[in-house]
Amino acid sequence: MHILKKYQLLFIIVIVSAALVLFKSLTSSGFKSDADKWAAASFSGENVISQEQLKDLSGNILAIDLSDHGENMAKLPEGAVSFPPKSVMDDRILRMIHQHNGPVVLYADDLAISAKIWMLLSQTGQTQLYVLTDSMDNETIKYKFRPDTLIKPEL
Amino acid sequence: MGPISSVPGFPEWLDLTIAFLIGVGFGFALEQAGFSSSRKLAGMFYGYDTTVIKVFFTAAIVALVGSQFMSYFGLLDLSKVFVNEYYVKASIVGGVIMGAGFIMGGFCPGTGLSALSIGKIDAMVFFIGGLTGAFLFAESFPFIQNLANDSYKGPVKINEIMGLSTGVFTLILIVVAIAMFWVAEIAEKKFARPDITSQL
Amino acid sequence: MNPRIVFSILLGSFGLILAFLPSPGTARLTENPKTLLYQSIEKSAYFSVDQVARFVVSEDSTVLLVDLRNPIDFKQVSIPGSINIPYNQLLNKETNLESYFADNKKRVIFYSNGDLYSGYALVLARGLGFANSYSMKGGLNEWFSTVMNSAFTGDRISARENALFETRTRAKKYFTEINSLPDSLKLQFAQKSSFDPKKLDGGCE
Repeated sequence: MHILKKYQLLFIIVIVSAALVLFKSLTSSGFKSDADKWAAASFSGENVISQEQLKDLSGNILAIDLSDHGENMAKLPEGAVSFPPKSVMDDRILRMIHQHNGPVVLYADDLAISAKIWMLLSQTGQTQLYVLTDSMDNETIKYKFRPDTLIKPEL
Repeated sequence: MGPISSVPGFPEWLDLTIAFLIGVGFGFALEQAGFSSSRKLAGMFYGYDTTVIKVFFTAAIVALVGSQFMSYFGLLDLSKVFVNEYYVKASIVGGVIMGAGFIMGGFCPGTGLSALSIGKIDAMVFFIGGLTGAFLFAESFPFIQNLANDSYKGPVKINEIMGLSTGVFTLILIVVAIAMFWVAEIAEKKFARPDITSQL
Repeated sequence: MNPRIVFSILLGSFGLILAFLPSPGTARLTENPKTLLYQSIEKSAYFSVDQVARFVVSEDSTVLLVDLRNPIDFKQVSIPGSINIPYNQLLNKETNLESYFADNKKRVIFYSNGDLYSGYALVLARGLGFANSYSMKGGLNEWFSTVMNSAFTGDRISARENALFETRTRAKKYFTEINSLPDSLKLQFAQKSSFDPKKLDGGCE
């Protein structure tokens, strides 16, 4: 007790800064630190799966149709849910995704939408998160460039 | 978000003014702490006065802790803070020369200027010596270029080499520092030189 | 109070707090998740290939095209004036993403072959606070099918369509010219259009 009284001021300073740090870490944006790590699955492409690979996924799958009126529900396994892309970060939906135990599969007509929502959800710390696609060759160039051999460089 | 000099459109005159004010503060604090006395500085090597190591270690640790807290609260972007580049051999040779000059002259470059400002004659000679050395280095650079650029490691950090997180490394360094302050106080009692310290 | 003990207690407890914090320098998205979601999926986050074609033919200096594919593909063929940041290196320290956003009047447009990489990159960049990030909808595949293979089929052409086709034709010509150059000259062109990010320097004593 004697020591506590003697260094009272010090302890107050330390406690206040610890409280500030705690406050900051609890009220931060909701994204995890180390964005690189949470984006890693997209670097290797292992987060993109086709309909066939979807069948091989084990566990309790939560399939999400990212469309305004559930247009794509037919393409997804039973038990799929649908909500508009804009509502994914709503507290209720985000909590449901986070609490789901098993793979979460995203599907949208536009691959740009599912890619972006994949990144957003992954950065909030969601694991076992996949993008479902009909065409696995989205990032493959489908056209061959034919150089014009008649062009002379101007020197 | 700091460092403020990297904010786009930050005027150069303000940058220089801030640097000037910090410099004035640094020089004033050095002189107030008695660092303009070469006997106080040399005391570090003989053990009767360990103020130097305590001051510089405290400064380093306060900056380390402070910058990390500021970074955590989004006030400072640590990735923009300059990290000195590491040339292994040049650092060893340079360190030996600097250490020898320090113990012989009784000043390090900063405290030398601080002593010069209060008109110490030995500091003036020290300062001229420093300038001569810089001149000789520049003139002889083509001959020692290979040594100077040898074993370049880039801007490395110790905690990255050791594979520790910055926070854990900071804690280890603080524990080391606390132990060292304690050893330093024992040394001050053991190698006490009241005849010198009473005049400082 | 012995100053040594005061410092020991203060620094020791701060050190303990720090030991639990994540390493500084690891990037973390700072935007509010909801705002970031709205910003990244709304139409204004995209540029169409026709808009990009217009930027290319007018050599618009307020636009920086970033090719997210790997260096080999980039070397083979790329949109004139673009620079290469392979997507998996986007957040590397060496990439120094921030330097490309230093000029806040410059719009940075990400593109890849499709929509995946540019989508990821857009979210990461905007999330890190670089509001000037955009993506090219459809990627190079869309560029080829719309701009490179453009052909007018019909009887009458309106003034608006005429302008569009003229831009496409010019972009196609420019694209073909630059990408047909030998590799060494292509490299020179790429270097000319890229820039060196300014490095902060400093030091002490």
